[in-house]
Amino acid sequence: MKPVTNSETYLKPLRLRKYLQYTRAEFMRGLRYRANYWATLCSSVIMTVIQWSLWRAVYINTTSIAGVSLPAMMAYVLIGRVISGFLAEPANLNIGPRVRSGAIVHDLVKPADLHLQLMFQTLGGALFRLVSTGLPIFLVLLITGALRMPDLKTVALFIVSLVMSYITLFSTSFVSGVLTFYTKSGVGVEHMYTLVELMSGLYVPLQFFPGWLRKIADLLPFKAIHYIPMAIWSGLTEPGEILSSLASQLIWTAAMVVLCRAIWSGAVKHLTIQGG
Amino acid sequence: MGSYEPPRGMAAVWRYVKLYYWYLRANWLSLMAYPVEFIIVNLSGVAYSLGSVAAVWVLFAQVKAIGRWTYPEVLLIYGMSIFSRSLFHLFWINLMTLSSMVRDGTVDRLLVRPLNPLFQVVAGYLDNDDWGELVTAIMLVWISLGMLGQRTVWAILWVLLSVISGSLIFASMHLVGNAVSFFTIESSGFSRLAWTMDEFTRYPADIYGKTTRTIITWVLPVAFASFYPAQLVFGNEQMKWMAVATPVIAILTFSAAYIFWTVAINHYQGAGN
Amino acid sequence: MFTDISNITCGDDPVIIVEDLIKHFRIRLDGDDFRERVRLFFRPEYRTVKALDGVSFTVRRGESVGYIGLNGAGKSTTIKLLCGVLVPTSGRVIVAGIEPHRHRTLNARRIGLMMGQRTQLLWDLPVKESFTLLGKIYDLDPETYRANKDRLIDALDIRSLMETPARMLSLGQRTRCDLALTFLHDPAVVYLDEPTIGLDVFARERIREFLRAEKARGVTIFMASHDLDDLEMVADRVLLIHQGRILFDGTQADLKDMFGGQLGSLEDTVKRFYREEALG
Repeated sequence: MKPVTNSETYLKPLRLRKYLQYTRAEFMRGLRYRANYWATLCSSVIMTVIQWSLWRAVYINTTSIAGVSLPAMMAYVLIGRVISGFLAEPANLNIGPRVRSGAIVHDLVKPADLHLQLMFQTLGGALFRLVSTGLPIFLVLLITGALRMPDLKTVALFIVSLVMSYITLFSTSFVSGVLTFYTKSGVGVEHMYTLVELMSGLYVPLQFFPGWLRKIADLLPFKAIHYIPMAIWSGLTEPGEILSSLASQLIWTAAMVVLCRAIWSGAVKHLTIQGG
Repeated sequence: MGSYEPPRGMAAVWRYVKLYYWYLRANWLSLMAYPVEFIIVNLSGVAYSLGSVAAVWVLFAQVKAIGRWTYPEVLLIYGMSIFSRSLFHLFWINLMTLSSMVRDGTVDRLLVRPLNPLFQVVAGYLDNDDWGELVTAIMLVWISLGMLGQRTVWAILWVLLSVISGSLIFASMHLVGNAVSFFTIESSGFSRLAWTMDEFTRYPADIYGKTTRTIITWVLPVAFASFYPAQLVFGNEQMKWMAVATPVIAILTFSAAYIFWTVAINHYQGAGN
Repeated sequence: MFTDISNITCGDDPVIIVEDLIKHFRIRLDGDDFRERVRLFFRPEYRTVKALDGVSFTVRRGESVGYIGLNGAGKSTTIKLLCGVLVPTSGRVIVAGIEPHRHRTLNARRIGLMMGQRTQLLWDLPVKESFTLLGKIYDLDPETYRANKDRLIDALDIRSLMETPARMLSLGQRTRCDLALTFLHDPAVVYLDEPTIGLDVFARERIREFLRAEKARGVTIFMASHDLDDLEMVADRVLLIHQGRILFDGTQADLKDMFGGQLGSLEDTVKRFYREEALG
């Protein structure tokens, strides 16, 4: 029997609408809990206040650290808060337990590709967080002048970068989720997610890293999650270098997607041949 | 049948202490049913806490101070913050399951046993993944006390009392955040809000504006989980009394949170789900 | 009308008294399509569900009652009210002389509750550990604990399971262990909420015998189920509930007599009640 990876229908435009249904449904799920929403918004505001205060205090005695000025640093950190909801660690990608419980069978008999389905589904949650918490914070930061818009070209490239960021982030979680199927340990990337966030530059820009740590960070795909878009927005990446930065992000994103497909079809094969 | 009289006063307290032992024993045996998982998860727990510690370390590779606080001072505050947090995480983590317990109805089981429901929630489960963070926290506190030249018995005892108080303050935040699920069922946002309050305690409280500082001192007093008690170790005369007040603040905060919890349970019993 | 309770001698020693019990829930509407959801997000609307709509009955000490109804009829709500988990919207509940929701802990000490789908066994531990912990929770003195435990282990034939982790038990084995735990602290009243879901005939037979023996010891048994076959487990009395109201309160034989000695499915039985009501 042929495993239902249906690579032949992979990304056919006709099917896109079907996958967008998952996005829509997940987006709507976010609308269900009102009080919950206000609490989430509150958390985001607090994190923004903390980051803003922290970096102001760090720069109190100096104007430039590791070649990064305070305005650039603030732009970097604050845009990081705006997109942090969109790029939050996606939940429920632990495929291991679904495999062991047998629930995966229901996923495999559906006429949809589980990898794509999950990607579009978690996109719905990410978009909800972007619109519901990222956007209001962004607007407030703009109005108060804490954050300034760069030129339109940079904004456009930032958005392109953000799309790839999402795919890389999702792929990281997905790979880790499928790996739980092989390791049978239940330990996924979420258990060391702070390390991913550190290496992705969310807490501190990569410029701050000591040389050897920077080398490690450059060898890992995680900087394609936060650092690249945040550096584009804040100008840490020089305008002339944006395109090459995007090119490297594209390579990482593509590599992660290929890795996802490979590891997923491997798991499906394992499943259809050995019955899990 | 029916002639049973529940113990009162100190006898009741003693009964709960003994019961807590029996719950802990069962929890510990459950963890040990999966020894390999326990080890792997805790190693990754060390990795998890190292991730955020490394961020501070990377920062201090570049800067010599945050506000008016030196590296060892910031490190002690940070260490006490995650010490408090990991104590909370170790002993109170089951509060996080409250929302799902309300959703699937298992919360009703708590109400048909002749015990305090909160006790049953807290004692009911021991997490396997936070011993790593505790180790990291102890290391940070030990190192920073050494750098400050304060590795004395008194300083260590004070830090211990402070982080126990701090864990009680964190527990209060999470108690309120999760008790919300008795009203709304879904409470993950409130739960996350409580976790976010922890973030305030990582850095010295005076880097925040006046309004924020007032809130985290007097309304949601998380600053007492690390910043104020650390002042006693720094020998800061100005904030000595704020430091000493830490255990009192912790008890008051927890009492207030417990009242909220009681109101929330009563609401649940009235409204159902 | 159809509720003939004249042949049941109540009042000797009523252990459960339920009078005109009403329980309403308020549910927030979700909305069907996207636009409606957004609207309801900003301006919520609610709907009232009448889970119990005026229920009255009395149960004597040592009686065993089958509380039968379809899913959503109000069975679980009733049990939650009897256990003191929920507070009535109006009406009165008295169990063994007290109002459960006002004296929740005291009531909890006197009752046992078993929820069919939810085990109270410690999942990863040998069954004996669950006994130990529950013995401590109910503050049983060592002699009572040992005597009760031995009696229940023998009655339910679970001695060989005591060293097995709960997660490795079959459903039937788990149900028997759960039953034993429910009766461990000598409860005066035991509520069983769908205790036989998924069990085979053989297991049910054993549970029936066990319940008979406990009843003979004076335990009052109140069993909610959506399965008419479960009636054979509780010989005395049937309460049929539908949409928050009691349709029938009487003996099992009376219920059968009404329908010519044969009971169909529960759905059919409920329908026949409505048909007869319509006829007059």
